[in-house]
Amino acid sequence: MTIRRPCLIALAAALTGCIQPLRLVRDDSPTVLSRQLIAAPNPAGRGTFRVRTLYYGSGRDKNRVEYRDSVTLKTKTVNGTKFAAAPSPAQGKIRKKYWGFGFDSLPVNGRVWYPEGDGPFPLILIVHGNHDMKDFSDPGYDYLGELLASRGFILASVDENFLNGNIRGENDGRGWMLLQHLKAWKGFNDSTGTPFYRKVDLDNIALMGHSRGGEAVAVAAAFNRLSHYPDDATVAFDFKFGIKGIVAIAPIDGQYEPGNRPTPLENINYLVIHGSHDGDVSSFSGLRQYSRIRFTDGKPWFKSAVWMYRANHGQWNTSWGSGDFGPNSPRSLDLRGLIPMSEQLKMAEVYLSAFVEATLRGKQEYLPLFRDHRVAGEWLPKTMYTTRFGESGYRALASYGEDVEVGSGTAPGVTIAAESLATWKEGIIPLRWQNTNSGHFGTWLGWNNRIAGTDTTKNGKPASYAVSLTDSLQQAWGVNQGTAVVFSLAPTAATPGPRAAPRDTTKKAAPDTGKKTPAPKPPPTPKKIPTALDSLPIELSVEAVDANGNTARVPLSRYGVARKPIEVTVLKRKGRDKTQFASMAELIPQTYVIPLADFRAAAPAFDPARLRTIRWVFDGTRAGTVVLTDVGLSNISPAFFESRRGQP
Amino acid sequence: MKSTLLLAIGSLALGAVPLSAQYEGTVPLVLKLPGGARALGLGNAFTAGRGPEVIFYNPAQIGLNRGTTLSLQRFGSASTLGALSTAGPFGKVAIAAGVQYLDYGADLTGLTPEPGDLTRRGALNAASLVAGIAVQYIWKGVRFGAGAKYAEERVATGRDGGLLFDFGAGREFGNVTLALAVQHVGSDIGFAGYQAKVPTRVSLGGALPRTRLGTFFDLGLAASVARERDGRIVPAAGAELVYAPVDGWTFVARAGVRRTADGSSVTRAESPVSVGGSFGLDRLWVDYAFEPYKGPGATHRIGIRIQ
Repeated sequence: MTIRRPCLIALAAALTGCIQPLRLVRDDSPTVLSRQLIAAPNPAGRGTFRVRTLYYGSGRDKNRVEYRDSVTLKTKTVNGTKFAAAPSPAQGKIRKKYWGFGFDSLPVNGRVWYPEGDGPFPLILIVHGNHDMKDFSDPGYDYLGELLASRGFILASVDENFLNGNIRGENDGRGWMLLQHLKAWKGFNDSTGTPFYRKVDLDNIALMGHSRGGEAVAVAAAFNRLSHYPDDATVAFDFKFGIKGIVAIAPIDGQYEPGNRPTPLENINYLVIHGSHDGDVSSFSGLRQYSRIRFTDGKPWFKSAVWMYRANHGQWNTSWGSGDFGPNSPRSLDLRGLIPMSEQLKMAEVYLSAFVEATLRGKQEYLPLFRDHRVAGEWLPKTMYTTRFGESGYRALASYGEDVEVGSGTAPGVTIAAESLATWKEGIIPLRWQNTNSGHFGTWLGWNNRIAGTDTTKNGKPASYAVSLTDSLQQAWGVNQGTAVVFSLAPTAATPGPRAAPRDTTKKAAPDTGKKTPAPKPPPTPKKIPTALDSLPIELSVEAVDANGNTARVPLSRYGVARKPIEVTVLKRKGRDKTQFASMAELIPQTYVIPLADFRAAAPAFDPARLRTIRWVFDGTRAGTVVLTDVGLSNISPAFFESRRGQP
Repeated sequence: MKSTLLLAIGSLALGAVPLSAQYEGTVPLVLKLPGGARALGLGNAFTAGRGPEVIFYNPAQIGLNRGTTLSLQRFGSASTLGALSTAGPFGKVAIAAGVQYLDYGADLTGLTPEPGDLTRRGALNAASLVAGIAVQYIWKGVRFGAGAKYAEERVATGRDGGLLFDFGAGREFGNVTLALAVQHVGSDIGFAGYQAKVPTRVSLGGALPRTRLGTFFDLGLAASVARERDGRIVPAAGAELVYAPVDGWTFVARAGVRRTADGSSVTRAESPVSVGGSFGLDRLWVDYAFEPYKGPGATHRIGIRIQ
């Protein structure tokens, strides 16, 4: 007994020691989300329509009664052999035995929530991602179906469970299936005798996808505009549906690449959301697709990427829940840090509902939400968010990816200069999963305003970084009071050391007498005092300078919080995150949109129409490093700022 | 002096037996002993097992888990069994190699004892050895395996051995593994002046590898039935309860039952019940098994596994 007890205690201690202690960063939402600046009704609020549901599908489903006996609308199967295949013939047999069909006869099954009324109603398809194929994923978006149908949208949750499991490289198939569903919907809308006869607004369609489905919606939107399948042009495409927006929920990116190139997309609204504690898609991979969205037709498109602290992968789907690694997740993942599922669903309801209201109904009152999450303090669950934002009015001054000259920008004639910086370099902004490319280049700017020496209070002139444009560029772009300075910025954990004292040029050199003068005694090294990691947000000023040299300055914090990197521990085993990921924190630059009118308000002499230089002055925080990217100007629609009305 | 005397008496005794006489038992003794700590903990029901030590049970199963294991078993303070085995895939086939060595004491008749006698050391130094390799190939979803091994028995100064073969097949039926093995096939071995049969056995086994029982618990089951050379039918079964509180840390408790043969005396025999456990930290495992013996002594086996 005397031996056993210490052994048990030692074992318990070892076991406890191997489990990661719960580490959460102090939540700044009480201040960041303290205000509700959008006056419109909460998009997560239930609408006025009575909601009805039905199923459509093959009517022959072996495993699910709803797609066999409860089908209201029968659909034809489709041949998907060009797009997806079992990993091996043996697996193909097993799958066929389970499902009762092969890849040559895939069913077009969906569960629909729709509003009672005459319509026509915008159509939304939502598709799940990869999961255990026998644990059906399509029922898990019921909360969105109920909400959006009550608000006058038709939502169909698409069944692609038969593409789940151990299949790889099938995301073209997932996207192609969505277009087959749209074909079916066209049939429902065109056929008398269906509940949807002339009730579907096929010019206003949105696609939503989760995980692999999050990439599939981008693939579907790309295929929708193509004449042929890029990987086998013997397959002709003829879709051309009115897809106006896509939503990617914790998506992957790059599983399928058409013609071995990342999926390009243009002229479409795009929203991507991702959780910090995603135990499946560990990095914010959707930022890559976000970076590839281009707006070229002059129409008012926008894109937004929202990162939510403490959200995971599965809680966007009520069938998946917290188990991002499947049923054994509690063994691998630290689930204690997760936000409750109800909160995560609430966030999805707010953003996704606002997105379809803005995209499919043109409700501009919701647009500010996609620019800055701080405008919806009452709607959003109280946690931390980071928002990337872009819209079709944006023009790049410096994107940092076009060349290796740090002194030049992206647009013609743009010059870049820096003063007193300790770090100044350009590079790819990495994702924390194996340092993979996020699709963005940026510039690393590090400073320490303290002068080296024994006097720790002695500061030099604040470091700064400036982007200047030419007269002709300013005129060509029509820069005026309605223009906004747009950039994205993220602090890093790096802190450069104090800068060297400036050389005193007034001192005369001593005449050479031939005698060696003894070197001055170095000052005693001050005792190092351990200090806690500085978690305070970075503060700095943004300056605008006009052609006359008039300078206006605003504090960055007014336009969003510049948080230090938020370290996240997803895995339960102590130390596993450090070995699993290239970084403990995801580097996600927050987008700041600062109207030139605000500079004018700060300094009335400043003339926005004669803007010459935008300068970041590192005067608020003594030392630090930030990554700056996507610096530009935008003649942004005032609708993105409606929330500012009546605000000081 | 005493040991020299005993050795001389033993040699005389062995020399007195005509070479053509048939030995009633089977040799080598090591072939009748468990191949690993996990197997012992599961009541030796390992025909459908997996891991490097399965080379001592069924060559068709060697490709399921890559790894290496080293184990040591003590029978009271009288005998010691050591085993080393390794298995892994090489291209389209899996290859395994293993060796087991038993050090024990034979009695003055020079005849090998039964496993149930190993907790008592006889007067003559003796050893039993098997070393072999096995290969496994999958054809139409069925695993086929074959192994060749050299086995020998050494008592006092006498040493005899021969080449033996194993054959096996296995496949999954849903979550259940079924496997069949024919082991120790070969001609009789000349041993201690006798012609001794080898312990050829045919066994059919089934296993339910770790199946989720709850959030942190898994259950594994194993069973087998074997027909021994002497016609005895030996059923065996075992179960293991796995506790995995955090990724990479695994605690296993196991228990097994099997039909055992009596030792040379009614007062000595292996116990039909065995128990064991494992602790795994990532790829490194420590395995332990215990089997009480009828009569004095018991056996403990401890192993280290990299898997």
